[in-house]
Amino acid sequence: MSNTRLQWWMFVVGGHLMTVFFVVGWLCLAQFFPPPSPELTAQQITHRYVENQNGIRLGSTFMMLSFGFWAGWGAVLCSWTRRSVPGGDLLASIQLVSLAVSEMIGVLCAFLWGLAAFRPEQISPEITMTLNDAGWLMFLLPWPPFSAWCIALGVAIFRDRHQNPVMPRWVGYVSLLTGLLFAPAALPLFFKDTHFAYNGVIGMMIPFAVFFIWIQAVTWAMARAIPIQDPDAEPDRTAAVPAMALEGVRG
Amino acid sequence: MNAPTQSANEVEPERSFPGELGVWVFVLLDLAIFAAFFAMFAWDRSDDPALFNEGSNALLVSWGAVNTLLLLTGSLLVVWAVQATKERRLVEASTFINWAMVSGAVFLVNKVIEYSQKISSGHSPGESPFFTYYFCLTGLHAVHLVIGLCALVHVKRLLHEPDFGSADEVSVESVAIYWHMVDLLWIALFAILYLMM
Repeated sequence: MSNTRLQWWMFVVGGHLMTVFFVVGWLCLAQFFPPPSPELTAQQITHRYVENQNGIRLGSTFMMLSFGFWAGWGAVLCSWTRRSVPGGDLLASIQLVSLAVSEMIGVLCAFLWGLAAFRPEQISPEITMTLNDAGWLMFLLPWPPFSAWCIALGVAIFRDRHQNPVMPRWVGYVSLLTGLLFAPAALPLFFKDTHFAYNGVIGMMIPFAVFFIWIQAVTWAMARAIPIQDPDAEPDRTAAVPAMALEGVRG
Repeated sequence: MNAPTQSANEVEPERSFPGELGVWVFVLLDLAIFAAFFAMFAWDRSDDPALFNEGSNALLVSWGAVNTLLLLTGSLLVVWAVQATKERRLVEASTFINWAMVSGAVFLVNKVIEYSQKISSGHSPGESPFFTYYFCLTGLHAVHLVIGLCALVHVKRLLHEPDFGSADEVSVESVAIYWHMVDLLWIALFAILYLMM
């Protein structure tokens, strides 16, 4: 498989699959919309987990599967950053570390929800409530690594001085805005009601939505720069190569 | 936010809007998000208007008015800076930017004093939904303002470069657009938090 083809699969297919798997798991299977309120009693939360036990377990599985696609997607961005941008080594390293931490956070929150659905009918409702709280707070509170990831990519896009940059500059602005809009995810630690709680529009839904909007915007924007080649054809060494590949050859 | 440079032989295309496309995408999305915040505020206010009126009464309109005046002055200074930049009066533009930064910094100092007064008189973010919105929305606005001040520092650096060109002018305009958005957000916040009863 050519390098370009591999990048395309990792980035474009991986980016869309990452979104689809997570949304299917969270929304359709676990049925986390509307989200459980922090003001529910332990018995009410346990009832929700018992009623949809299989759905939440399957949803947790799908969410954890989605995180398997993050590595390849993020690695293509790191590779582009390192090769194409002044100061790219540092920015790519920031992206790589942030990506790894973000992936770990995502896996943990899906794990905690799955754990809460493992045997809720056999354990104390207070334990189920705590695991539920842990899942939601893990989903939201560790927002800074996600912001660091977005901001590192945004800065990289602005530092790209090529005449025809791979990434359009508006994606850089969207990345910076996304990094900023994760900040309200810090509020659910302080509120159990209102729109600032972990079931609220400001505390959860906006940060959640902007993350996947960012993933799709970046995937769409960069996908146009990764040409698709026939994997069975002989590599054409005389054809013009995209700027990003050329920079890789130049090292 | 430096826009890409062009080669000397290329004719500069006529721009149909100030700044670059990306800053408008940023501004419009940010305004949309704040519109959602305002909608949430209105929704919660409709549940208990008396509580929200009580909260508004606890705020000093004069504080909000002074802050509004500061940001409006800052926006005017930025407009003059952009005009001076277009006419390549870069030293004058830099002076306008300096004073715009002063207006923003004084705003932040006022905000800190106001927060301290509110907290010391017993109004904390958790006291009521009104004060949750007050501290969170004005706090998020303050973060935007700090980012705006950093962007103005970047503009000052550009204005002092010897090879200031059309791409740098686009960057200055882009920062100005962002600054005006921060001003616009404050005017909306002033209206709904301080004046709406």
